[in-house]
Formats: sequence, C-alpha cells, structure tokens
Amino acid sequence: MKNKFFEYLLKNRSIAIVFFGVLYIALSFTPFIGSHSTTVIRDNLTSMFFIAMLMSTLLAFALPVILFSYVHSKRSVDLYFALPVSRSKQLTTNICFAFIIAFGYFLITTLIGYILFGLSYINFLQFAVLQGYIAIYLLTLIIFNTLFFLVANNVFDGIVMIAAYCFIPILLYMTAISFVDTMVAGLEMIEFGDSLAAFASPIYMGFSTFIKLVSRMVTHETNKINVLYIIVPIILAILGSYGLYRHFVLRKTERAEQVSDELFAYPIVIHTYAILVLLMLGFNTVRFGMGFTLPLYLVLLFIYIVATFVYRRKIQVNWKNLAFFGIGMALSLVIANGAWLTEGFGVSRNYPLDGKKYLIYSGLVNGYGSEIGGVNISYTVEIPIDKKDEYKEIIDFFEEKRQKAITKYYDTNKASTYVSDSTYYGELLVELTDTPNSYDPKRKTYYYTYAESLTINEMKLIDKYGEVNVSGEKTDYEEVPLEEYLEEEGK
Amino acid sequence: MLEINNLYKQFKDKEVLKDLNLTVSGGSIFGLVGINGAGKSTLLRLIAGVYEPDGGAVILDGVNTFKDEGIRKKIAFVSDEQYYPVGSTIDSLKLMYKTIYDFNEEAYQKYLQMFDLQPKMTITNLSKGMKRRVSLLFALSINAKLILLDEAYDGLEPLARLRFKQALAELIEEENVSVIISSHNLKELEDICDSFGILEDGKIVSYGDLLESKDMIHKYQLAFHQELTRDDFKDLDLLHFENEGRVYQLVIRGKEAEVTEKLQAMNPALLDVLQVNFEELFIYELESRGNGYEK
Repeated sequence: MKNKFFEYLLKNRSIAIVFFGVLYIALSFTPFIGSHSTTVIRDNLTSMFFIAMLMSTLLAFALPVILFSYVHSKRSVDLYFALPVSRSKQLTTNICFAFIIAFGYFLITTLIGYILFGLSYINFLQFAVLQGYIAIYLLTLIIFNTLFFLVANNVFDGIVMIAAYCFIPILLYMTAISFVDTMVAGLEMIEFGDSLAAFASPIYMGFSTFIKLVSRMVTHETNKINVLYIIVPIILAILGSYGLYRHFVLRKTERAEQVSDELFAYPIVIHTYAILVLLMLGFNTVRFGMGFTLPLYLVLLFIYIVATFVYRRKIQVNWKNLAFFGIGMALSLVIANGAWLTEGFGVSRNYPLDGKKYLIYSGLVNGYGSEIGGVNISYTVEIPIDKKDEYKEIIDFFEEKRQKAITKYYDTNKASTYVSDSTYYGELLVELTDTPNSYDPKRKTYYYTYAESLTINEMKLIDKYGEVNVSGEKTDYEEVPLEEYLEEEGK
Repeated sequence: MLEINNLYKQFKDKEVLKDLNLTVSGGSIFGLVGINGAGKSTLLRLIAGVYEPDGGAVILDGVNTFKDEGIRKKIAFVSDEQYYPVGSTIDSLKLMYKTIYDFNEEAYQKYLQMFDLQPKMTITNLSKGMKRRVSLLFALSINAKLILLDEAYDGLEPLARLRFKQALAELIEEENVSVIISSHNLKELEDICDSFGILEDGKIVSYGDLLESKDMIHKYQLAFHQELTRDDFKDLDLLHFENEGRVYQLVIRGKEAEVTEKLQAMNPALLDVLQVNFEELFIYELESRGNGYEK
C-alpha cells in the first residue's frame, strides 16, 4: 500500500534533499582537490569515506530532531496526530526517511568515489560489506537518537537527552580511568575500546569498525574486526525499537511541552551522572584525601542543584535530593575504601605475563641516595615470550620488585611522589606488546615506583639480560654503559 | 453520526472528562460550551484522535476515531492553537492535505477566493485572523464528514464570520456534514447551532436541541401585592430568583403554559414572560448547579 505520509515528506522536502545531497557530495570529495597521483588517491579515498561517514553520523543526530520535533509542541501535535496516519506508520516512516537520507547520501557518495577512483583495486564484495555495516550503524544511531529525543517532553530537553546519553559512555570510561588511576597500583591506562563503555557507544563501535573495513578495502590491511561491534548495535537497535514503540506509539500526547519527568529522561540522566561523578570523587578522596576533593564535592552539589532546576524549571532543593546526594556520597566512599583495602578489588596483583610476543621491563633508577650515587640509570630488558624460561632469573627479580612496589602503593598514600621526594627510588615500567619498536595500540603498560633502592649488584643483574646506561654530572650528562661507568668509578 | 461512550480522560492526577456520553447526529451543528478549563478542547482533541482516551471511546460512523486512521480522513480539526511549519505557504500546506486527505480542489479554490487568500502567502507572516482563515480553508476542502472547530471565531472579523457561517450552512445542507463548535461567544453560536451541550465537571450536564431547550426555559417578570420568598416558588423548577421589593424576576424551567398557570394561581399583579437567549440559558443552567460563569 502506498505510504502517503512518506510521499508527503519526500515532496515537501525535495528541494532540501537535493541541496544537502549536492553539498554532502561536494564536501566529501574535497580531499581530491589538487592531488591526482596514484599513491595519494588511496589516502584521498580513505579521507572521502571518512568525511562521508562523519556527515552521515551528524545527519543521524540532526534528522531525528527535525522529523520528530512535532511531538514536543502542543500546537503541532494537534496537526500531526490528527492526521489519518497511524502513529506506528508515522514512526516507521520518519525513521525510514531519516535512514534513507543519512545512508542514501553515504551510499551515493561512496559509490561515485568507488567508480571514479577505486574500481581497479577495491574488491566489490568488501565495498558491499562496508555498505551493509554502515546501514546497520546508521539505523542503530537514528533509532537511539530518536529514542533519546522522545524520552523528553520538549525540544530543548530532547536535545539535552541526546547529548547526555551520548556522553554517558565517555563518563563511564572516565570513571573506569579514575578507578584505575587511583585504586589500582601499576595499571596506568585502559583504552576506551578495552572498556565496557565502548559497548554503550554506537558511535565508537561504528567508527572503530568503519576504519578497519575501509583499511581492508582501500589499503588491503589485514586487521581483526570485533564481531561484537556488529552484534551489539543490532541488539541495541532491537531494544531501541521497543523504546520507540513505548515513547511514540503509546505516547501520551499531553506530554508535549511538559517537564521531562519520564524515568528515562532527567531522573535517570541526572542520577547516573551524579553517581558516576561521586564515584570518581570517592576514589580520589580515598587516594588523595578530603582536602583535595571537598571543593569538588561542593561544585558537584551546585551542578546537581542546577541540573534539578533545568529539569523542573524551578529551583527546588528538597530533602530527597539532598538525601540522595548525601547517601550517594557515603556509598561512593564506602566503595572506594573497599577498593583501596582490596588493592583495587584484586586487580593490582592480577596481571598477565604473557599473551603478547614480548615482555619488556624498563625504567629509571634514582642513583642519588642509592649505593651507586650521583647519577641516573636507565634500563631496558626485552624478553621474547617464547624464551621466557631463559629469562626466569630476571623475570623473578622484577616481579619481586613489582610486588613490593604494589605493597608500598597501598601502605602509603604518597606512592606517586616525585624525584624531589626522598622516597623516590626510581620507576619500573612493564610492557606487553607484539611490536616492541613501533606503535602498538594494544600494548599493555604497567607503571610502578620502586619500594626500595636498587643495589649495584641488582643493576648488574639487569645489565646481564638487557641494557643499562648511566648519565649525570660525572658522565657530562652523556649516556654511558653501566659496565664502563662502574669500571671508571672503580666500583 | 458521532457517538461518545463513557469517555474518560485524566492528565496525571487531574480528571478532565468523566464517563462522558454524547451523540451528535449527521447534518447538525453542535455548540459545545463550558467555563474555562471545563475540558472542551480536550474533548475535541479526543474526538479528533489527537489524545488517546483513558476509558470509553469516540465512534464516528461506527469506527473508533483513535484506533482507526482511515476514519480520521473524514475529520477536520481546527485547533484553538494553530500550527504552521516555519516558512510554510498556503501552497506547501496544500501539498500535505492533498497528499494525505481526500482533497477537494474545487472547494479549495472556492474557499480560497471566499476567504480572500493567496496560494503564495507565507502563513507565519499572516495576522491571527488570516491564519484562522487558512485553517478553515483546509477544514472545508477535505470532504470531511465531521468538522471540529475549537474557538473557531477567534480573530475572525464580522464579514469573514458571516462567510464562514454561510459555507458551513451549505456543507450541512449539501453534504450532511456534522460540526462541533466550541466557543465562548455564545451569541455567535446561537446564530448557527441547532443543538448544544454544556460541559461541566467533566460531563455533559445539559444537552439537546437549542430551540427546544430555549423553549423550556423562560424569564418571568412578576409583581405581587405581598412580599414573597424563594420558598414560595418551591413547586417550580426555579433556576434564578431575583427581587426588588415586591417586583420579581424569575427564570423557570418548564413549559411556558404550565408555569404561567401555576404563577397565575398565586395571583400576581403583573406577569410578563420573556424569551431567554443562549447565553442566558447557559448562565442559568450553570447557576442552578451552583457554578458561576465569567460573562
């Protein structure tokens, strides 16, 4: 049956569709301006695909706002919900329309690029796979942005909800970083892609997979696609569709222009943000003391009150809000203290020594105040995992130092003090990587500060398996091998 | 025929309509009146399918107007707060009605001329009255069987009002269209409506044929030799009692002949019977229920 509502949308916006389509294609092809050499064309093609992806992503944000804003106005719902078009048809038509525009522009643009510049070296099947994936990605994003827009009851709140829900994965990641940074000895950083937050972000999953698919297609790189980044968006799209049914088809029309007090609007958003930030502050309070975080708690309380004002459109500090804040603060401190007492819930001593091709120990030793005296020592020991047994002695040595460093971290709250502090004996960096001499995005890095000074014999042991250099005033600040330095110094 | 059965609607904790029942027959103009906040606009939105009833149903020609999208093709709803997309012209709005409704080009051209409108006019730049004309233009151009007009006369100048009334009269005569008009301007409604309903406290408290109803309520001016109190008229359905000395002005429901006979039996020095207009009918109906009306 002919969809008259779709026909109307298409006819009513035909000029805009053509105008923005031409603009989209023109912007996507800007990398090709002025460069025609064969080697550069592949880079240009990659850039073109990337610009198209970026613009379609922006459209996946803008179109739900444009197409669904009528449900947020008392006057416009009178017109649209009185139309002889059922709500489910309005919903599916608007979603399809947004999808056709966002994906259609991408498909047409990249198809032109493929025909003009990539026909000779791009496998069509790979091109088709990319299109299929982008279709899933854009549909998921449109469904989710529409849902976030519709959980609110007015246009302003709808835009706030889209932004707020988009930022939640980043805030989750920041909380994880904060936990790792303060509560876990050694583990210095986790990649966003290695955190669970990635699965809450269709944008991250989309771009991550897109970049790999384009690299495979254009530069024939062999990289591993995370299948979960394809499955999870599909599951999210199905869940999101149910949410859309609830918030559009079963929507109470009279919600238009009201305060956005639906559970998944401000109530969830404000309290999720508050809980995550309170957790971050809790970790930092236990690590650095209340003197450091007290002003931040006050700032958070102020922001919490402002957010409540934006939500209810009136300043309302009631006991429930204050109680939530107080209980949240107390609970976050309990969790943070629990994390500290259990050495980061056991994460600190639970690290791998294999799984990659190389295990590397490196770092600096503070010679001032140690047996060697007056110089700085840098060292590196690179151990191929398949020859681990041959390096057992040095691995045991470093692992003992590592265990002591972890114990020291939780014994004192000043484990991360720097050179000027007399307790700084040097640092130990442990890395697991497949490519020791080049960039490895999947490199695992652990950073510790020594719990005790290293003796000359210990340095000699390191030198036996790796490379140890000395520098300082005595060497005119030039790096000198340990053996040579000890010989000159008669040690 | 429009049938409203046990219609119930609440906004959060506030009950707006409570088990409302109403029937509007084809080819009639129904005046919906009530004090501010009585729920007139809510009722019209429920009939138009904009709001979902929390109970009961609105049935037009045997079909539920909320559940069946097809029946809404036959309903034209002119809201009290009209919406026009930014930058839209009469032509661009016509595209929507032409694509989605059963659009009548001949009627459109006729009413375009009647309301003195130009297809290229940008609607958002028009005055309130002109915008109202645009709404009415499309309501009259889609072959509707039921036209819902919420505060329809707001902003229309007298000549436009007259033309619109003529257009409605033609439609009813030729197409058997039903019209429901809500308005605070009861004098305007009186000119055009053949039936009415008074909405109060979420229910239709009084409804029926306008002429018959007006015929059932009269204003009586009386003078007596002795002073009387309200209790002396307790045998009559007294809607309004007012006196100055021994001169009385009463509004009584009942057949004029029967009421007059009863009053004559009280031996008045003077008895005059006056007709009430729609506005007075409305006021006295509400007054008799202990409710006021801002005139």
